[in-house]
Amino acid sequence: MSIFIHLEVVTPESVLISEDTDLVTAPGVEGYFGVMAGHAPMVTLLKPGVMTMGFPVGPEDNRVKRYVIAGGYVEVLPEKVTILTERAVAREDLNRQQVEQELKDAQERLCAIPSTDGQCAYWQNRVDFANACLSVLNKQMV
Amino acid sequence: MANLKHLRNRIRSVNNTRQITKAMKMVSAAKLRRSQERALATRPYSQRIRAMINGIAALIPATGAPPLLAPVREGSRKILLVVYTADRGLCGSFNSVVIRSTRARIAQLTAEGHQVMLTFVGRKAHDVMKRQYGDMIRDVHAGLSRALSFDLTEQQVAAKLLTDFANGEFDECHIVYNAFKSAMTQELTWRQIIPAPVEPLDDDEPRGAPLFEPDEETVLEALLPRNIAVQVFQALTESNAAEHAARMTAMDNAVRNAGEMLKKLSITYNRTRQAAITTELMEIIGGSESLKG
Repeated sequence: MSIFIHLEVVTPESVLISEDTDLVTAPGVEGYFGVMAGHAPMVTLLKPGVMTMGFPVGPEDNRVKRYVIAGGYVEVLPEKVTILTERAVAREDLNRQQVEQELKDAQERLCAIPSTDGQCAYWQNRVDFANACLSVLNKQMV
Repeated sequence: MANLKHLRNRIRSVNNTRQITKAMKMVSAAKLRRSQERALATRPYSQRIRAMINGIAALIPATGAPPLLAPVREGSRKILLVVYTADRGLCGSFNSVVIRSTRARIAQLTAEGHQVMLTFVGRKAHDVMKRQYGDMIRDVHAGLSRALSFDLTEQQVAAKLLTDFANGEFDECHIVYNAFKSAMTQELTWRQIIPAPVEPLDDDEPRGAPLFEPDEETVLEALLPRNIAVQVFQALTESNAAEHAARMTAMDNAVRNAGEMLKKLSITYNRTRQAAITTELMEIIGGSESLKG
């Protein structure tokens, strides 16, 4: 069996990633988890957070690619991981100013609407996404 | 005999039409490229999410399934049809194909004793059908194809569908749209989205039940509404790409027809002009001959 597992990250707008890697970590609703080739089949909900691909060798390993994803679903099969998410941004593409602006906007919208509103979950998701982006920019996350 | 001034005007107007249709063709070709990319980019997500639901649905008993998935009861039902057309015309048979098929479906469902309701995405079908089916119409969403934004479509169309379904206003929902096949062909597509259809799994390797986190029900409850939004959005992007393709083809035909017409008209024009000149010459010669005599 190959030590590689095929990772696909799909958003409604495009197929963002489709390549082989040795380790995938993703933000499950019940905590971060890692997946390697041969993992037991699993279906999980994701929350907004950081997804990584690649096995870290040192503390500042450039081999690891980081993406911020806005929640979604993941299906794990022994040779394949499929992540469905509304939005995914590579760390290199993050822009601090833009993220801070987005966080502010989303927080304002969240405060402006009653907590019973159906839109609430949507804006909460945006806030969490922006926070995850910031934590990546501040390098708080492994 | 057609007179010259009349012919000249006619040639000018056909020429103008040709220029306009040519410009429209160019515009559609440019738009087609962009919306085709969008349509193709949406497909993978929509296929994956359907496959995922299918996989989970096969594992849980039909009796315990959430309402968005549970098989509908037999007998008379309230059925909502979501009809996708363009906001504008001049795209050949693009809109009329959808409208004709919808009419047939309404007639069939009504004959079977169901209650039919209609929601329109895109203005054209509504314009045509509002007189005949006025009392069935629930919503009209126009202008969505301009932005082609997932969030907007989800909030306007999918959210409405889900609340109405939760309130029990309909039991079943089908969408009809023109799927984009190639720049030359569109394919009329009917798809049931509520309840989500479950197809038998066709892969031959039997795999054990996967682990679910938190559990099957929670995952399904999150996936199903999402699936509705995705299917609704995918139909929109497909329909939009197909619309531009249809308009491009229609305008291409119009340009060619105008060209042919122009050719015929200018032949007639030249003949008529020549005939007039000949007559005038004959008259002059006749006049001078009679003076000589």
